[in-house]
Amino acid sequence: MKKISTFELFISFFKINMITFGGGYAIMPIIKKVYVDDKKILHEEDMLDLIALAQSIPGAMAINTSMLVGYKLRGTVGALVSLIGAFLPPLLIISIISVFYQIFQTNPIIQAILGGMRGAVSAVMIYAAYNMFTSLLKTNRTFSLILMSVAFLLAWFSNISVGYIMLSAGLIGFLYFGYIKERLSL
Amino acid sequence: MSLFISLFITFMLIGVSAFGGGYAVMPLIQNYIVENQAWITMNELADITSISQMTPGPIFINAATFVGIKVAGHLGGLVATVGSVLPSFGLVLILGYLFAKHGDLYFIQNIMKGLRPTIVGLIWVAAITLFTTSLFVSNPDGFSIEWPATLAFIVGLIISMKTKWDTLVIVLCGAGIGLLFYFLPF
Repeated sequence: MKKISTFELFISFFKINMITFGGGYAIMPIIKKVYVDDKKILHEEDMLDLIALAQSIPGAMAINTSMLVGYKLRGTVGALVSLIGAFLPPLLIISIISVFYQIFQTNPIIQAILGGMRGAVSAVMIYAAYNMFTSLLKTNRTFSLILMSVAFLLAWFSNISVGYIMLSAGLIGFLYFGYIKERLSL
Repeated sequence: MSLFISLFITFMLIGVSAFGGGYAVMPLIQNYIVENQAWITMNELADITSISQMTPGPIFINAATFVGIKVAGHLGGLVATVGSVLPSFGLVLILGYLFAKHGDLYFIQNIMKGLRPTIVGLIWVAAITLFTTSLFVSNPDGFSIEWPATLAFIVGLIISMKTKWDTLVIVLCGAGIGLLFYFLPF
């Protein structure tokens, strides 16, 4: 695994959290692009494992994932600098906005800039999500495709909490790869 | 002083119970902050929600900063935000350690095989949600297309596919496109 300095961790999470709209899962493709595609420090599977862990911890997903990446790469100090890098941008932005948030909500120039930023971020997200989709299909193709589609459909059309979806998926993986798959291939 | 302590503890309590991330935290904030502590009104909570949709950063962090500043000034914002992330920081250290030590256990890997495709499915939901809310605006006649965001999306997609540019640069291009449209005479 390549080394990364704690300063670089801080800067990268500061930048990532500076530009990520939407919260929750919206930040994942961006972190994945930076750490798996650009820096090539983490493997795709490491990334997905960290997201799964982040989901099992209470609090903001974006912050949790940032900390877990930091912890994996640089231990406790890594988790701390990633945490600070991740929460500083929203802290600073809201500190500024709270002073004049009426103006912020109605100013057309700010709205124009934010609109363009959101469009560009969606592009980065969609492209990274597409890459995750194609690399997912390299192993356990049918299994992965079915689970991914079901998760997508449930999250999109139903009100079932994401926690339950993840819990069921973990259980399915545990049963399928631990007990069912071998018997099917006999 | 007691106000800072009560801000810190209240947001720490929300931080412990906020499973699921994203908007799952909103009922908790409503319960603790609006109803129990009466630090902000329902209308202000609605404002925080809409500001969070416009600005980067997790809604939980945004809300903590906003409420803290409103109750006890900018230092209050910092105190509330630190309180909100402290529980997950502790849990990251514990879980990160356990996963690094035991993550390669056979049954844990099987659970992960179920979780990975599920996460990609959930990421697609987030990506498509941001894509549609950024590029299309619903109105009484159906929906209209946000042209600046759409152009920023297309440019962002081409840059993502063809170059290794930093994500921040791509998003700044989007901001520039938004600004350009604002000043163009149509």
